[in-house]
Amino acid sequence: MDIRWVWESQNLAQRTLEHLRMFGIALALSVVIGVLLGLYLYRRPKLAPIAFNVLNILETVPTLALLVLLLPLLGLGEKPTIAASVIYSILPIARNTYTGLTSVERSYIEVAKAIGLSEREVLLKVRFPLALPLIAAGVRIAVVFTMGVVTLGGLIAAGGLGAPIQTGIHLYDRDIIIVTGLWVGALALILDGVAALIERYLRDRYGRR
Amino acid sequence: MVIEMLFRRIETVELRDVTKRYGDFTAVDHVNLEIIGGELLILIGPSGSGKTTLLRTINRLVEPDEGEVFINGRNIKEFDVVKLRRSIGYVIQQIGLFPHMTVKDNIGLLLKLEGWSEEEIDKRVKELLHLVALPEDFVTRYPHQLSGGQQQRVGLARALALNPPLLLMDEPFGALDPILRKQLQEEFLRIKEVLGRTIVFVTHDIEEAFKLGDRIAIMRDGRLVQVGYPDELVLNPADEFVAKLVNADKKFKHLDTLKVKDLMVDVEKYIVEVQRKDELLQWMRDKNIEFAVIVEKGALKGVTDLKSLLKSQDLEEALMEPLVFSPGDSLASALAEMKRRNAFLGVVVEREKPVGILLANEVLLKLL
Repeated sequence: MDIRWVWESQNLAQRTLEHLRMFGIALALSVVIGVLLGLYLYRRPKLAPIAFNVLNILETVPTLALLVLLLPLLGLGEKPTIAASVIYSILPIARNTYTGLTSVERSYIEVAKAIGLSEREVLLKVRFPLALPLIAAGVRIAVVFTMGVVTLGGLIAAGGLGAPIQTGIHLYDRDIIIVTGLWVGALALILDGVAALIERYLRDRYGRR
Repeated sequence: MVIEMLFRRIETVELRDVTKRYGDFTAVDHVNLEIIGGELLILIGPSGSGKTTLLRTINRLVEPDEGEVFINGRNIKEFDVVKLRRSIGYVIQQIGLFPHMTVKDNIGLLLKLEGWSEEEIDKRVKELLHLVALPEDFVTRYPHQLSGGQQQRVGLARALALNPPLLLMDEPFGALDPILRKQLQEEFLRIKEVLGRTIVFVTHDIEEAFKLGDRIAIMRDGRLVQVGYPDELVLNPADEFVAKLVNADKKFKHLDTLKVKDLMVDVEKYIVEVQRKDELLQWMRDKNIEFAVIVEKGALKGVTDLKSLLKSQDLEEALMEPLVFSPGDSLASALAEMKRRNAFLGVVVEREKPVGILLANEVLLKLL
């Protein structure tokens, strides 16, 4: 197996950058939308069951089907791939944000109010920080989802590391498939590891009781 | 930095006909109570008697269904609720230090929200740590790194951060073990003297009530049964319930409940401001007294007795540093301290000025 040949012929350095770029954009969007949605549902708890049901249904749509469904709307390439990643990742982030905010121990909220924090200050200074470990756990799940979807994006001409895997399949080239596949797997492990470290830090910092 | 408080000092806190119901359960039942500025009022009663609910109507954590609360004659509904609560310190049993904030951030939280600068906050936090007898380097610690007693001190410091004229305390020592509780009560008495502010204090422990309280309000089933000074409650209990609670038939069962000020004797006769030994000797002979309390500009300098005065070269040599107590100290621990140090007298000092003398023999005589 000639790793070097695969790396150079398939332009894996370039592909990796594309891949990480899509991953970064998708995850950033997911975090922003997911956290904001979680916050919004926390303020409007009556909407929460409906919203989470909808997200749960979206979550059950197979990735490939979702990508195809998005084609008429967003065409081929990066856009539908990022959109699909975000759709999958919103649920774990929003749900964990919502759960994190609502499950902060009552006594902390009571004390915060009693010593004279406004609703807003209670949310920003107490609820949100104490929810951070759980939000981070949601983001970590999203990291894994996003990595998977972005790789599948190769099917719809999104570039990234999915593209050489497609090439490998078309050419029946085992080396390309194995090298690229292992590389994607290694990247996923590294990113998940980084996410785990961040999660652990937040748990130590904000999660101790 | 000056903080805008709704009130600088408390004249009165008045609860008028306050009622709070939860469904069919009446937690507080038409309670009328006036708290006088500067006093420490105890709210005591069995669990479920409505004492905590009543306390919480004062900072509007509980909005009464009927009745109103007035501070300095103004209905508290007129005030902005956040401002009202920042003008009232609050300490609870579960402490409620925020686990994600350091000691400094916990104590300084309100200061920060009020827009104090970092240096001002630093300075104030250190002041407060000093007041509650914690070392300055605790600022960087997190609550989980502190013992229960230390957490409670930080909780008190946080409540005092903005220097509120009114303090609400809901069983602040309830979760501590008995020895630690006693120690913190003693310290709290000291802090209370220094601060001299109005405090409403909920407890279910009658010893604690007698030890800390100026007046005691007794609650049962949401109603106020009796309010009064400790001796009134002991001597004239309103009913069986009160009598039983204050243990009226065994007044001195607990030496613990007596304070130094209850049994100290007048110091006036023994106080003198002199510079020289012969001056003092003459004065003591004239007055026919065995010992003297020497002051300088009104502040305590030391004590001496005839024997040591005669033996020594000059006044400085004869001066001894006496045991010093404050009026609110527990009598029992004061006596124990005197016995341990083999001292026959202790000087009772308030704001550096001697206000009384504790004579071991006299105390024993009075107790018999």
